[in-house]
Amino acid sequence: MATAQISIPVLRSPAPPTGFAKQQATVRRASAGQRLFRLGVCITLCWLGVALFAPWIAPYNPLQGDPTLAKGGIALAHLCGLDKYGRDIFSRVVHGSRYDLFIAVTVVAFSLVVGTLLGSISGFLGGKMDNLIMRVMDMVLAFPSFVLALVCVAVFPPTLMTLVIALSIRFVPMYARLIRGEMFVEKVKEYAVAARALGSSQGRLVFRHLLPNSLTPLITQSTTNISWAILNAAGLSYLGVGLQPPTPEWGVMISEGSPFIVSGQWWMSFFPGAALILLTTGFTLLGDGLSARTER
Amino acid sequence: MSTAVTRRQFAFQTLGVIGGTMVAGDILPLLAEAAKHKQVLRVAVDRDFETLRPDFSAGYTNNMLKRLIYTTPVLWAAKPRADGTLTYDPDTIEGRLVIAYKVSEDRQTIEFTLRSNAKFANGDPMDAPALKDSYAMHIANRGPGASQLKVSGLPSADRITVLDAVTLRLSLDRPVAWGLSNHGLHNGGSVVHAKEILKHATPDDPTGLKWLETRTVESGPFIIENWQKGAMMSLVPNPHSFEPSQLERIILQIVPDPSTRRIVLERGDVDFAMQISTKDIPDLTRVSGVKVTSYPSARGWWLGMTWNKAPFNNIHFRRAMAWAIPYETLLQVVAHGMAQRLRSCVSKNISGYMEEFWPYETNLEKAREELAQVQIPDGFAVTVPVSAGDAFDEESMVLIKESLALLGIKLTLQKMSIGQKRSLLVKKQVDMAIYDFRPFVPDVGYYIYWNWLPDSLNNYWGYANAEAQALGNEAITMAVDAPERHARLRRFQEIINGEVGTIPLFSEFDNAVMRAPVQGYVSYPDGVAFLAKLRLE
Amino acid sequence: MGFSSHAARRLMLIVPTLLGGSSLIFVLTMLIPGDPALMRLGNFATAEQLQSLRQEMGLTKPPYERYVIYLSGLLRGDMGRSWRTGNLVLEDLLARLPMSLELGFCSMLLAIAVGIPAGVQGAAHNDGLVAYGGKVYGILGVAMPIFWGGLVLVYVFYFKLGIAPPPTGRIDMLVVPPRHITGSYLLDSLLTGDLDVLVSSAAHLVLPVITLAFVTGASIARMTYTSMRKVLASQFILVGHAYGVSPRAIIYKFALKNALMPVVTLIGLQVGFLIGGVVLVEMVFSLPGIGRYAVESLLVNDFAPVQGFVLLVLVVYLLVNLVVDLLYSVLNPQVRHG
Repeated sequence: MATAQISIPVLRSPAPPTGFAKQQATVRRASAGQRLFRLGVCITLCWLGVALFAPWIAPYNPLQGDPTLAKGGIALAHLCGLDKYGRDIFSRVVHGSRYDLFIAVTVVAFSLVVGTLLGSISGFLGGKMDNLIMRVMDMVLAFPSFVLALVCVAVFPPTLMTLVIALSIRFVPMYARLIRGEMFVEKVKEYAVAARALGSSQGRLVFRHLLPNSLTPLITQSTTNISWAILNAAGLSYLGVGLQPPTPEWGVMISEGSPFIVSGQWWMSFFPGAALILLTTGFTLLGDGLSARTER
Repeated sequence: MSTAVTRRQFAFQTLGVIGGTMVAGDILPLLAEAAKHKQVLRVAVDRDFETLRPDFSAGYTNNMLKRLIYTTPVLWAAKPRADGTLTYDPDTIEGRLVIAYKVSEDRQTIEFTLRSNAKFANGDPMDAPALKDSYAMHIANRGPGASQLKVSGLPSADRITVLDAVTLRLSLDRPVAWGLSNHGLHNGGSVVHAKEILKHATPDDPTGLKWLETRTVESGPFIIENWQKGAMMSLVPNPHSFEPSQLERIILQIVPDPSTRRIVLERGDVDFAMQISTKDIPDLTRVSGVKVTSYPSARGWWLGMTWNKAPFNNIHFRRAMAWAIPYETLLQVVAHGMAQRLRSCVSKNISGYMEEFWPYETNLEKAREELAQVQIPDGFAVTVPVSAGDAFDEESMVLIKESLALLGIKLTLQKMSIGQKRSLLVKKQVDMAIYDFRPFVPDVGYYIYWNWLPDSLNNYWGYANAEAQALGNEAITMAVDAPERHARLRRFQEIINGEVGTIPLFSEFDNAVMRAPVQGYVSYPDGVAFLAKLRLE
Repeated sequence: MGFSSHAARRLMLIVPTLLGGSSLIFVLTMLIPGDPALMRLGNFATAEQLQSLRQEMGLTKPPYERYVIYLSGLLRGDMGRSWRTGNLVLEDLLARLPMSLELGFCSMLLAIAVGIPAGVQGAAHNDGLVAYGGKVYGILGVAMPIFWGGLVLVYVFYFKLGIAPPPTGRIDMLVVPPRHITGSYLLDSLLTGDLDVLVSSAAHLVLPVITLAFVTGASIARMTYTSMRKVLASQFILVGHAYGVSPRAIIYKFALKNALMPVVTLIGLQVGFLIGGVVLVEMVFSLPGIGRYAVESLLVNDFAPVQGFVLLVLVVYLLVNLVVDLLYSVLNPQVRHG
């Protein structure tokens, strides 16, 4: 492992062989990264806007449909077609953004906070505490998310919050484990050793020095977890449990629309799915860009 | 059919094989050429077969299996409809194990004459003592089989007398309107080899019932050849059965996803599909190569409301609800046209059902008028449990919720497992919910026994009306065509529908879905298919 | 700290974890409202029957007593009996486990084979179709609902195109499964030399494996991508490059090893999911796996299978992650086992 004195010759590397564009066109790369990050910000802000202004953007009531038009296809009046009750899918997707953004934020917030806390303690302190926490995390992680969520939804009152927490529990150990893994690596690096030598207290050390450097996989994992949470919610709906009808949440819409794929009404599951992909992409690009910045 | 892989002779598998049910290896039909196994019926079913105990109800798939592996004393005869398809004849009971029967004047004594030389699959005689032992076992096990027998007048085995090797006398403790019908049902009527089952008793399993969960000695037209749990079961004809079938083999393949079940039928990889989603039925009627036959059934759906609370026990509130339901929409959107309007507190398409006491149609104006006469507390909201995964329940409630919202009544739907919902219903902790019921015996008296009497487990709403319930009770024992019975059932329905005892929504069709070459399907009142009667053309 | 002692310590810790996990699921399932006896009896039940069945099923005993019965059963290797199937839970699970392992293993292989290269290419190169494709895959793949993907694949490749076999299970309906040696149809048909059966069971695995691997591979790709990028930007890589080490060596010999740590973690996490969490794929493709078994039981309030299932998944998962943990030290000798 090289010592800290080497200055990083980023911009003055010898002509690299093809394929190592990173070192050659750093400027070009930086702006490509910037563009993607900006795209991510854009998409995320768009969705935030859609969610905020949903009642004004959606042309129809998402909860009430015209049964005579049930299962109708794409038309001028109904850009995304209609669902099995005759409700306008475009309006439902628009309103659904609220639920899915809520799920996204809550899932990440809950599991991030709890998981990072546990992982930091565990990784930094090591020893018996580490073992105990990791055993508990193993136990939680080992529970297949479905059965755990199914059981939680059956035991506790089935509100949106319950569902989200039931889904988030599954992610806590992921964060804890990642942080712990990073902690092991980071705490032996020079800057950590140096900081301790300079008398930095353990707490400060964790939160000011080690944590920001462990953020990269954490951010990546968060964006993945958001889509997993929504998809797991969809899976629960497919089994018949989970969010209560007639909530226009995208996962529910996908699961309600999936049985209609074989009868040819593809739009019922396609549009909420596309919305989900767009939202996840936005978060992902955002997350990737953020982690790129924190690497500096 | 896939031709990519050669077919082989079925053989015992070490995993999940049912032991002791095969007679001899040379009975196995050889699958030689494609032409030879024209009479192999491939069926897609929705779930695993659960238990082989006949006395426990376990859904259409399991019941279909029971009808194949167990015979019954009698069964409804078949009669053709106008379009040539076959349905059960409510007026004619055909013998299966029983070849003749006598019923006394007071309808309380039944004498069965069994066919001689009937045998179980292991060669043991299926005679009158065996039949008595079979009944006795059902009664002793105190499951739904025992209840069915009890409702029909046989609460204990000492009421059954063996007169000789082929004659059995049943001394009922009361006559019932539906006569012998219940002896065609698979819960109480399936003939099991009680002696053989007891041979498998262990200290851990004193009744041998645990053995019976997964192993049995068949009495019906087919025996289990191979059972791969969670995957499939194959059946071959029972060499000792007196009911020959034209099929050489039946393969029951578990295909849990309803969409997948549909497309394997459409593509012809199965010949018969069970439990197809109602939403797919209209599409399938238009697919060439597939035929769909719809039969009006006794499976009805109602919206119930508790009688134990205000404002639900207020007649104006109940009438308002009755005026507010979007009946036609439910028929079209939820049932996809595969149902009929239902207009009484009992099932349709069975003897005793009367429509004239239900005047309500969708009329929001009248609903508002009625509602105006009720004191609704502020913030009144009803929590309605909905069975997860049950499209009729969920979709109907969503639409009803919309309609009631127009009246200012707020419903909160709560999805839960079927078990949970039923537990709440039985404990009478539900204010409003949709429920369904199908009386396996096509008689209103049978329906009343299970649902409308004071101690009926399914009386979820706490209904109590001494006059109506007394009438209903009396109607159970009267002769089915007696005028005094008709009068009682009339008054019964008049009272209950008059005070909106429950809100009838619709009566669904039984839809039999199969490929065009499959012939011989008969619809029975319990909705259970009898695959042994099918053949491939 | 040596491998063996570390491994031994981890193995010992499995027992309390299993104890904790099985107790947790027991408590949770006991809290689930709904009467199993009522489910069993169906629509034609009377109050007395209900009472006597509840007694027979042991439901009237106080919770503490039921817990003790449960635990003592576990210690004897008795996971109880499923009233839905009528079998012992252990038998049911062992009958279905090979299928789940087969599916999970094949999916993970494919996911790794696709995901890691996709992530590496995306990180190491900025242009090029493969690199771009890798990045896009990483973003799109994690957003796809598994059951939806399965249904679409079935619809397109089986229903419309007729290429794939019917999704009716592990093997063609009229084909006899291979003699039971391991339970995995692929292995057993290989071992018994049954070529038709091998082809049939492999064909039936194609679509479900692709469905699963698509999603799992995407998240592996993403993790590899991010991790590789971070490593590639780090100092020692630049030093290596400055010393003239070839870019291929840089990527594959130095960077990848270091980047793989979070990826390996992820793979360990995914394995538990792939064995026990693929209920929906099992449903769409009619595969008799342990996930479907547990969920179908749970939905009718048959809890013994759920308890047994959780225990089994815990065991598999803990063993796999023991391996993962040991891989940590292989990949990065700097890591100290606390």
